[in-house]
Amino acid sequence: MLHWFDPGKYAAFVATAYGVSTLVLGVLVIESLWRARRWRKAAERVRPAKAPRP
Amino acid sequence: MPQGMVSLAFFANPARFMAVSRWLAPILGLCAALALIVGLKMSLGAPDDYQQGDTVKIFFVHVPAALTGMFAYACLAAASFFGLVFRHSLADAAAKACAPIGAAFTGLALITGSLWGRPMWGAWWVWDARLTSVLVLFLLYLGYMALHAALDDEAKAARAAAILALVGAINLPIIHYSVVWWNSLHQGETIFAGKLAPVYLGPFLVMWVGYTLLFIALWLVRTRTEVWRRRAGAQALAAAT
Repeated sequence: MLHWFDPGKYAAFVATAYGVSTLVLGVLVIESLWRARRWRKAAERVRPAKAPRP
Repeated sequence: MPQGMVSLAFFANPARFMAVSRWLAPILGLCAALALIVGLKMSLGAPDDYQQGDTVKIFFVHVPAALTGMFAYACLAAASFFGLVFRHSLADAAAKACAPIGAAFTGLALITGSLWGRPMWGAWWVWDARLTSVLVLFLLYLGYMALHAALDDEAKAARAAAILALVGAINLPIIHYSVVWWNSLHQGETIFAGKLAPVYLGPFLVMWVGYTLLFIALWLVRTRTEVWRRRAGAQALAAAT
């Protein structure tokens, strides 16, 4: 247990709120980066080789 | 042309936007990560409230999520306005990219609010003005995304979704003033009324900055993605004809 975190009576609610927040934001970041990578590659695939990268 | 419009026009150029956002998004993402790590340590180390006990710690993830969800909708409405009035493709792309991020933050606000309400009010949900208006905001995001996905013609979809976004913007002042206009189980104005104890203000501000920077970084990434998606689609179509 972290020494600066004192779990109280409602620790289960607090831990769940922080856990859900971390999970949702983590999934959002990973999904955004995955989609960006996918469409960047798709755009590069159809672009002529000489064209400069935006 | 006013100064603000000049700078807006500067970034409205897609090539310039792609060049600037390429280095700006990772910098903002790193700043967000740093703020969230520091904010998390400060939040979990904050003292218990004399009435609410340790549930006060939910405040540091609930309120920044709610404020970011509302800020995201304001950005969505502004981008929709520019897309609708000036028919600017980058504004359309920015509006479309904004919706899933705003929905995620608003959904988080509803979930964490429910987790705070159960021990404090004895109920996971009440049809209170504040809670209901935030639920309407979440449904507006879902409606915006559904409308965009429902129409095959991207220009028509962007126009229809932009009108929905602009009409839905009326919900933002309703959310803000819901605790003033109606008797509400939700606590009244705290932060902007200067009623928040200083010991909670620090962790809250750091978390709020972290959430806002994360939203902006993700918005840039997803707008870039939308530009690439449209470019790939247009180039594939040109190659096929």
